Amino acid sequence: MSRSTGTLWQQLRSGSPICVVFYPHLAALERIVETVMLLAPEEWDIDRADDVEDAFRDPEIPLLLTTEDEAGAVEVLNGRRDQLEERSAPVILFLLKGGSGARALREAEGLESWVRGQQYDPESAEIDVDQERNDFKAATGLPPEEWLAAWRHGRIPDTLKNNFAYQRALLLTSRGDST
Amino acid sequence: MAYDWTRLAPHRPLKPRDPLHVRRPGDGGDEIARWIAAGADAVAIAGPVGSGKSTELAWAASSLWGRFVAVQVPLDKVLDMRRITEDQVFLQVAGRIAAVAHGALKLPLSAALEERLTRVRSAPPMLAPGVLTSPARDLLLQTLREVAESSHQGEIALLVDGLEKCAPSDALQIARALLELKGQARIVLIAPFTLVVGSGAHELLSSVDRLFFLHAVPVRQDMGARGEAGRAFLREIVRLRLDLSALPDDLVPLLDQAAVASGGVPRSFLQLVRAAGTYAALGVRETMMAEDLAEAMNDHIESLERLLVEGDIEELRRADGTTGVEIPEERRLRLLSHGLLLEYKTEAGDVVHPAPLLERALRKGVAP
Repeated sequence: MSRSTGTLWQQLRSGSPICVVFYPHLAALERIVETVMLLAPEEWDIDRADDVEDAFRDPEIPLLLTTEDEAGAVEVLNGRRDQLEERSAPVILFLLKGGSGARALREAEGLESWVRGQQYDPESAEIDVDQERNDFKAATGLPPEEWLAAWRHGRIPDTLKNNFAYQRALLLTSRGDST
Repeated sequence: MAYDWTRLAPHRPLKPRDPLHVRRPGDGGDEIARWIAAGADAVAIAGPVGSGKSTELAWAASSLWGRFVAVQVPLDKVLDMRRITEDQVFLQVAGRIAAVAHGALKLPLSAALEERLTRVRSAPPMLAPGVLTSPARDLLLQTLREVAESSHQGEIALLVDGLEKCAPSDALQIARALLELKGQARIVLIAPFTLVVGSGAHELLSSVDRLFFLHAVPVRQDMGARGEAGRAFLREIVRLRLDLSALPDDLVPLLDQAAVASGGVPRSFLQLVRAAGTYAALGVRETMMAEDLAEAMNDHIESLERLLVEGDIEELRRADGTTGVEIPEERRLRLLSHGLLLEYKTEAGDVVHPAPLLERALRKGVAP
């Protein structure tokens, strides 16, 4: 997994109530949404909304928030961010790179500090598949396909550690390059 | 053992009497409480994002309890801070005081006051103009006086959080309105940077008895014993939040590295540690390693560098180790409030340093 894709994997599991994903243009947005869905924990039942008010409902449901008025959404989320505190699943806010929402985020110092280090920019997500596969094998003793097969046959114990390995194996086998 | 790093919850301030609270080295909520107990009518708290203002406000409330009816008012949790009005604030404060009277104090309020408060709760004036017959400020004064008089403490301390989320002009207006309550209650409020630093600071600073500036905690190796005390403070936060009897030896140097990288800002520190721990899980490792922390730091570096605008790097370089007052005001306010420039209290006075994770940008002169 590339560093940038790793960032996305990390931020989806960090417990942060909100994180940000940048996209370069609308045509790429759906592809990036797919990447997010792919990397999300398997047990998540993800919702998608275009109304920022949805961020304040159903705190246990992960929410992909793609709004037309991105700057307005940032303003609302910044002003009411403490109402997001109890979310057990994140709001994943999509912002056009360099757009009005991204600029508004720079001004929204409180919200920005919440998502510091929790910002995924897929444009730099260059994946070195070979390196990642080697790393996986070094960590688990098996290539991802074999590890996945063993997992599916119940030969690998269902531990927290192995669940993480499962996510990683899925990513490496289903899409070599997540971008 | 595998740690649950999400328990670090960097975004969540602690509540009054929270067992997870760790006393800051040198300054914190205890000092604010001492000022109030010593007679200060009004105290403003300011500091960079993530420095622990809300947590220390809650701790001050805990410390004041007993001598005062300490009422914490987190405006931002109940109001839309973009459209806030004085009346809404007064009604919220009145409601919180009544809630404390009913809850912690078990105080009966007069039937007339209960009736008015109930009417307001069921139909707030913002939703139904005209329902409230007396101005919101009157209702607040009535609540303040009645609770103060019937409580054994005899005096109320209001600890107000959330003004930094308003537009600066709204924040000033609300602060003004709250500070008019001096004499009826002691006031502690978290103020946005714009109200306490620079040329716009005069009005608020002349209306409060003390400004409590929550500096970044000293963490640098060259800060000697103070730096070690700061790092120990941050380590202890992790120990408590992860519910460990002691920190494992292999984790301590990594936490110290994260502490230094954070510049002593607790939220940044916790974000770095949480992210490093999650990266360790991605690497199918039970505990974090230096490479995990490096990944977390890289993510933060990218976020911080996104905040830089033209001219910042030169100013940050020039300001390093000085008081920072030479930086033009608007830029200084932005750098300080975002935590791109961090202020430290030293024996020789206050000095500023750029956030440590901007080191790459400062070295290379990365243009935004």
